[in-house]
Parts: sequence; C-alpha cells; structure tokens
Amino acid sequence: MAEPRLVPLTELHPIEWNPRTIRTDRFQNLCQSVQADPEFLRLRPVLAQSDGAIYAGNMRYRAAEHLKLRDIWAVIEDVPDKLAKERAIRDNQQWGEWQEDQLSELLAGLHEQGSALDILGFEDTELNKLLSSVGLAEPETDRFAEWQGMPEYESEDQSAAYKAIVNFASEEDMKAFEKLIGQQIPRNSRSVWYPPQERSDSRNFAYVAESAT
Amino acid sequence: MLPNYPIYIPSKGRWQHNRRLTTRTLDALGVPYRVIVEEQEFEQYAAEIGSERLLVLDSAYQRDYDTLDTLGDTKSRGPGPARNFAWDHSISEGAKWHWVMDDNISKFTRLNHNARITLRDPVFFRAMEDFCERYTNLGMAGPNYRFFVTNREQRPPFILNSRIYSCNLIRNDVPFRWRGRYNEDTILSLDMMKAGWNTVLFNAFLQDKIATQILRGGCTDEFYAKEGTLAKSEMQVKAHPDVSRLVWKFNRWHHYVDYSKFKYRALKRKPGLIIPQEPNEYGLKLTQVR
Repeated sequence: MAEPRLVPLTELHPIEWNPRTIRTDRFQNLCQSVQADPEFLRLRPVLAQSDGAIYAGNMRYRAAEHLKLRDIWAVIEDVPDKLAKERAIRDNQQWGEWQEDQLSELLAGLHEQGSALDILGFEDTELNKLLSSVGLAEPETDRFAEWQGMPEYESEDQSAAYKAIVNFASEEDMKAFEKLIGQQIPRNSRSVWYPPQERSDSRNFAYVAESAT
Repeated sequence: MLPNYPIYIPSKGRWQHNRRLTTRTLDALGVPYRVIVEEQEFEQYAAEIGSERLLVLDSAYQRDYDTLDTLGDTKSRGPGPARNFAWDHSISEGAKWHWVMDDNISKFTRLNHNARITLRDPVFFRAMEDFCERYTNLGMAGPNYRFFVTNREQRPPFILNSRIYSCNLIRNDVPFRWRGRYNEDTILSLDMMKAGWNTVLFNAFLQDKIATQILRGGCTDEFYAKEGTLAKSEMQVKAHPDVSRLVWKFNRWHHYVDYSKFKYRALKRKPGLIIPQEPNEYGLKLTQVR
C-alpha cells in the first residue's frame, strides 16, 4: 500500500471527470485555510492515480497551486477507475450532522482562544447563524423581510444554468454552428442563449403616478 | 409626492444643456433642487438654469477641506468641499437628512420582477426616505448604479453596508464630513461603517449614470483626463488600508474594498415602529409608454 509523500505539483493534475466545482469566495477561503494550517495537508493527502490524475483532493491541489506551493502530500496509487470515482464521491460526503448548539459553543470557545473562525470552511451565513446563537454576532438582516411595507419587490434567479465559450477558427465554422443551433449570432454579440430567450422590452414601459393615468 | 429632504447638486464645468444631466432629470420629474457652483461659473449656470436655483460655494469649504494629501491647491479638491457645504446648508434649513447628487445622472429606474423600468414620478425619493427613517443606526443610503444590476440575477431589494455613491441620502446628525480629494464616497461610507453606522444601497431603485471619465466637465476634466485612476485608488488605500487594496483591472487601476466585516451588522428599527404588512406602491403604476 502506498504511503503519503510530498509530490511536486507539476506531477499532478485534476482528473478530467471531477464533478466538483468551487465558488471564488469559497476558494479564497480554502486558500486562507491552507495557509493557516499547511500541516493539515500532510494529514489529509490528495489521492491520485500513477499518471498524476487526482481523484480526491482537487480543490486542495488547486489551492496549493494558487498559493504557489511546490509540492503537496499525496498518495499515488493506481486504483480501478470505478473505485476512484467512488472514492471521489465518498471523499466529499458528510455522513455526520452538526449538533448546532454544541458546535456554536465549540466555536465560541475557539473564538475566545483567538481562532480565525472565518477560515474553518463555513459559509458566511452559516457561520453568522451559529455565532449569533451564542451572542457573538448579530443575526443577519433579512433584506426581503425588511422591505415589507415598501413598493413591491420580486427578484428571481434567471441566470444561465451553464455557460460555455465556443471559439471559431473561421467564419465558415461560425456559420456551421449557427446552422446547428438554428440561430444567427450577431457578430458584435458576446453571448447567445440556447434555446433563444424572450427579451423583455422594458423601454416601452415606465412607472408613473397613478393619478396621471 | 416630492422628497421631504433638500436635494443638492455640486457641479463644475457642466452648465451646458447637454452636460447638465441631473438637473434635466430632476426637472423632468418636477423635483426642486439647488446646484452648488463655484463663484467664477455662477453666470454661466445662472444663464442656463436660473440664479434662484444656485448656491455659490463658500470658499472656506475649499480652504478647510481635508484632502487627505499634501498637494494643496495644485489640484482640484474634488466635489467634497461642495458636498460639505450642502450638508451644513441643509442643517441650517432644519433638515434631518439631505440628498447630494452627482451632476451626471441621466435617469432613475425601479427594479421589480427582474425588469429595470424608468421612473417618471418622483415619489421614489420619498419611498427611500421613508425606508431610511425606520432605523436608528442608518447613516447613509442611495440607489445602486443601473449598470451594476443586471436583469437575470436574483438580488435583494437593498445591499446592507456597502459603498453609497453619486446619489446619497445622508442623515445630518452623524458626526462625519466628506474628506479626500478622490474617492470620497467610499471613504465616507467606510467612515460611517467603522463607527457603527449602517449604509443601505438600494437595488429596488437605481440610478443611470454616465460612466466615469466619459462626460466632460466635473472630475473627468479635473482628474481622470490628466492622471488616470491610480491616485484615486491610492487615496482609498491610504484612507482605509485595513479593508482596501489596489488592483489593475479592465486596463486601469481600481481599488478593491472588503466590506465583509460590516455584512452582519443589523439594522435597528425605531422603537414602536409599525410597518404595514402590505406593499405600498406610493401611487406608482406601471404603464406602457411610447
């Protein structure tokens, strides 16, 4: 069985089927966390196939890369593809559940000892909720609730579920793509929707005084 | 329904019809305002908008202004002196809050159901004022920029504790004044937040502004055309180094400010405040227009 060892980052790479992603703010938080406790990387090595493809620990690898570390603790061992995929999933699961009151007390104790609670991997809102329950933070203002009694305000997420940049080597290739998706792409446009989305033309509307209508 | 509180527009070098956007916007809405001008430009502004709507900036405000640098009179002091003049002027008139606006706002819009739609009635100022008056620890508020608020994203009706810029509703009794030759919006916002006050940046109401460095006059001529944005961003870092850093982005210098430490400071409602359950449209109606 392979033992953890320090492996140059240049010998590793994320596995192509890695289904995990990370938001920028969470990634920054992870980087800060790694910086605060680099020894933790030794105790929790990344797992990679012998060709260097990491199947568990891709985010830690990316953080190490971002922090310009030269190497990272890793267990390099060829395992069947199926097992690698299973381990990738297991590695990211949480079976246990936090007992929130006990967790809050634990955080309060760490706070008293000077720990940086914001780099322990919690989402901001989650941490605030825990800390506010022990009086270490004010509860977050519910901005929608606070808007009560003001003009109606509704907002929903209509952003794209996925985005992709498609590059074309030639005008012909672009035309072929247009044919494929059944849309003409204006040459000055930065993005298109597929299927096409209806654009609301707010220019033809205005809010006026009710008495004026 | 007009705003309760006085509106001031510091302006410099933009008396011409095609450059004085905010005054035209407010004229179209039927909202009274005062333009603060420097003495040497009084005649030009008076010819365009009438002397009764002008206030001449008291030179003491220029002289006593804290520019946060040692460049003295070698550069313009920016809009800060006129904004401080507006603040004191509104107090002298007994106002509890005042509005101070840049002179390049082309319109105001309302965001609802992911659509940004032009406002043709000034009652939205009153709505923002009423909202601010609900709280004991709110120092400044204002509408977000329209171009920062895209249609498709889900957003709250306001952002708590961020920078308030270009169209500011300011509580008069907070112990601060504008300072800094540049970037005074962010500096004042942070001055307030660090002292325990909150700010509210409305998404429900938005301002359309001509992008910085496009419309001639104002800070475009005074600063950016000559020196770019580095000095501006450096001043921000100097004023609030604990939460600011310099970044190069989109081919110019910017400052990045981390507001996260103020994110969870709650708004405190005035004791006994009763807030109606139902939305209040303030008489606004969505209408198809030509």
